[in-house]
Amino acid sequence: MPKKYILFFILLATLILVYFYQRNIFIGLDKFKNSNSALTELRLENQGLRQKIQELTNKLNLDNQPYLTAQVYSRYPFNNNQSLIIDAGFKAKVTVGWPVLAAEHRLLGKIVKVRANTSEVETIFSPDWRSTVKIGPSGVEALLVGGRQPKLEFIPANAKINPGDEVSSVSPDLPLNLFIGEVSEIISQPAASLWQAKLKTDYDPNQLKKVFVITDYE
Amino acid sequence: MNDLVKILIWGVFILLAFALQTNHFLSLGGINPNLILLAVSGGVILEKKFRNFLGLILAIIFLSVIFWPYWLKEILVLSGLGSAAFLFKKFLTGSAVLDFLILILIGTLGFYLMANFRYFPANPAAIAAELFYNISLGGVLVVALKLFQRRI
Repeated sequence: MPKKYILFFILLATLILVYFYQRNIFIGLDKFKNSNSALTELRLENQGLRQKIQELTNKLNLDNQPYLTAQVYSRYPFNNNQSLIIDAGFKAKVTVGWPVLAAEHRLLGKIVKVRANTSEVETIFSPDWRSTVKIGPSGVEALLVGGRQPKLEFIPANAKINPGDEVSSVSPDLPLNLFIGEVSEIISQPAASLWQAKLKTDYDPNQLKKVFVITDYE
Repeated sequence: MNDLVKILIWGVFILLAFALQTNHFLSLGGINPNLILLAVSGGVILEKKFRNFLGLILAIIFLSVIFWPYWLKEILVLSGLGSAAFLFKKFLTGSAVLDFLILILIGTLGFYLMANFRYFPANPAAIAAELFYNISLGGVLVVALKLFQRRI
């Protein structure tokens, strides 16, 4: 009887080892292997240069708006939310309410919780997200309601909007005219006085590796 | 079975569940299975003593405080559901496999009802997909365990 549990344990332990090896958890152990300090120094220098190149490549043009780049540290583990944890916290002076972008002029969400080295970002894909937006060239106002597929609600019936119209932020707690996405489908009923529409973004929130936090925003 | 081996097996199981869940490793079409729920449901079925089950739940809460401090509420909901299931498991069918799948069904629905009620009516398709995924994965686990037992 105990034999099978031991075998089961060995199998699981192997699975975990393979998994963590893939995730480079053992990178720290690698460093010990390379006892040559000059080599380590060169490696670090190389790493620093790579980071600088990446920072320059990723530089945003936000009309001189200060921002910081943060890596996505972890994602909400269940399906009822789409919040992210990023690797910048109050040590990097991150403050609750600061807007977070997925790419240049692409609103992703805002900071809702801050810890020493990490922060939680509530995204437009979170079901609790609500903000006012304007749609298309006519500037029709609507309410953006978060979710796996964000929706635009309270659109006045017969408003001049079309699929493909740009949706941008007009919420007072977020930068004005920040692009959010496009209208993908309009849900209108002849008798209804208010319409709904679906929002489409040009990025997949599940694939984001880094985000941009607009700093000093009040 | 030796208690130490038992603790080790559960520890490995929970760690694996946490690692896979955090990294969305088994995510299919954007749907992430609830592996912590599977671990808790497994604990309810396999553990006979409440003391041992409580140890499992405390280990999950402890790991959550360390690795998932932002999502402690969800873990507490799962722990509460698991503890309630343990106390009422005598009212289940008595078949370990069937009870395990029933617990996954009730647990998935109960978790979303308690963790985020608003999500429930807004995303019925996503909940149904996760339910199907959780139950399928539970089924695969049961089959794997049975095959493993037969081989030994």
